[in-house]
Amino acid sequence: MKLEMKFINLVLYLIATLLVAPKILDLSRVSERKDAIVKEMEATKNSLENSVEACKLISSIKNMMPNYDDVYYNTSDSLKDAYWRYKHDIQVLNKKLLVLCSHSSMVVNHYRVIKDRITNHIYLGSYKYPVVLCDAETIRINGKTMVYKPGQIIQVSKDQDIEIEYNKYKLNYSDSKIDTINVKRYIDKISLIN
Amino acid sequence: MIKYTGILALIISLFLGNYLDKKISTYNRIFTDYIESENENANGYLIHFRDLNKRSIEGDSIGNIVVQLFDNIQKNNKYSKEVRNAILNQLHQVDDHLLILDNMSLFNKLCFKLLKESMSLRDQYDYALVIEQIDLENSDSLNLKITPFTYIKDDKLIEYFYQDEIITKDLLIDFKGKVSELKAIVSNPITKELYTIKGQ
Repeated sequence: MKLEMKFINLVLYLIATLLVAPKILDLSRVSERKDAIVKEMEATKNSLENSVEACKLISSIKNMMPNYDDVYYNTSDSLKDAYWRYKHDIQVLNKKLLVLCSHSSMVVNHYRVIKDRITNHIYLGSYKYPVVLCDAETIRINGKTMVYKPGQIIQVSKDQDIEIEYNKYKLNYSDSKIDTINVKRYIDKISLIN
Repeated sequence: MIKYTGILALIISLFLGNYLDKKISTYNRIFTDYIESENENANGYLIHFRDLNKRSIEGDSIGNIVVQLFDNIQKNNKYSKEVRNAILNQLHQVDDHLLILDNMSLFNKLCFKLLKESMSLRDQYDYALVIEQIDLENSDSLNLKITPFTYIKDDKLIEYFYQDEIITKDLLIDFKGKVSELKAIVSNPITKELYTIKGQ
C-alpha cells in the first residue's frame, strides 16, 4: 500500500513538474523579451526628454516659449507596469515635441540661383528659414548679436570692415543635442565701397 | 499527511501554472502592443511621407521614387524590414526639412539615427553668407541684405538651363534681375544620379 502511494505521489509530482516547467521556461523567454522592450522604451523616453529640453533652449533664443495647452495628459504614476508608464510618457513627450517641431508651411525646397554682390560668385541652393520653434538663427555683426529675420536689411558703416558671424541652432535627433552651424565672413571696407 | 503530498504538489502546480499563465499573457500583451504601435507609427509615417512627397516635390525623382515605393507597399499590403530599409535609403536622399514629420518615435528609432549619423547636412551642402544687395543709405552708411544660403557644394556637377538652352555661369554672373524657369541638372551627392531642379 505504501509503495503504491509512493508511486502515485511520484506520478503526481511528475505531472505537477510537467505542468509548471514549460511555463517557467516560457515566462523566462517572454520576460527577457519584455525587459528588452522596456529598456528600449526607457532609452526612447530619455532621448525624447532631452530633445524637448534642447528644443526649449533653442526656442528661448528667439524669445518664444512653447504652448502645450493642447497637450492633454494625466500622470503615469498610477500605471503599475513600466512598459505602460513609458508608453504614456513617450506619447506625452511626442506631443510636446510635435508642438516644438511641427509647422503648417509647405515643405518645399525653393531652389534659387543667387549672386554675391561682392565676389560675383554664383550659388545654387536654398534659404531654409526656421519654420519651427525648434530652429533658430542668430547673426552677429561687428560684435552685435541679433535674431536673424529673413530678408532683413542691416545698416553698416562705410568706414569700417565688417565681421559677420551666423549661427543656426537645430535639434540633432540622433543624439538629442543641439547642432550648431557656424559661418563667418569678413568683408573689408574697400570691397564694400567698390 | 505524506500520503497527500502528491495531490498538494499538483494543486500548487495548478495555482502556480495559472499565475504563470497570467504573467505570460501580460508580457505577451506588451509585446503585441509594442508591435502594433510600431506598425501604426510606420503606416502613419508612410502616409504622411507619401503625401508630403506628392504635394511638395512634384517632378522630383526622389519624390517619385518614394510615391512608387508607397504604392508598392499598399499593393502588396506588407510592411517588412526590407521595405523599411528601402525607405530609409530613400530618406538618405531627402533634404533635412522633410524630417519634420509627426511620427517622432519612429523617426527617432529608424530614420534620424541613420540619417544623421551617416550623413550630416553639411556633407551635401555648404553654407555661405551671401551679400545679395548693397545700397547706399547715406554718405556714412550702407544697407546690406545678408542671406545665409545653403548651396550645393560641387558646382562642377551643375549645368544651368534657361528655356531649355544651356547657359554658362559667366552669363549668369552678368545677368541682372530675376530669371524664372531656370533649370539646373545636379548630381545627387549620394547616388550620383542626375536630377533636375527647377528654380529661379
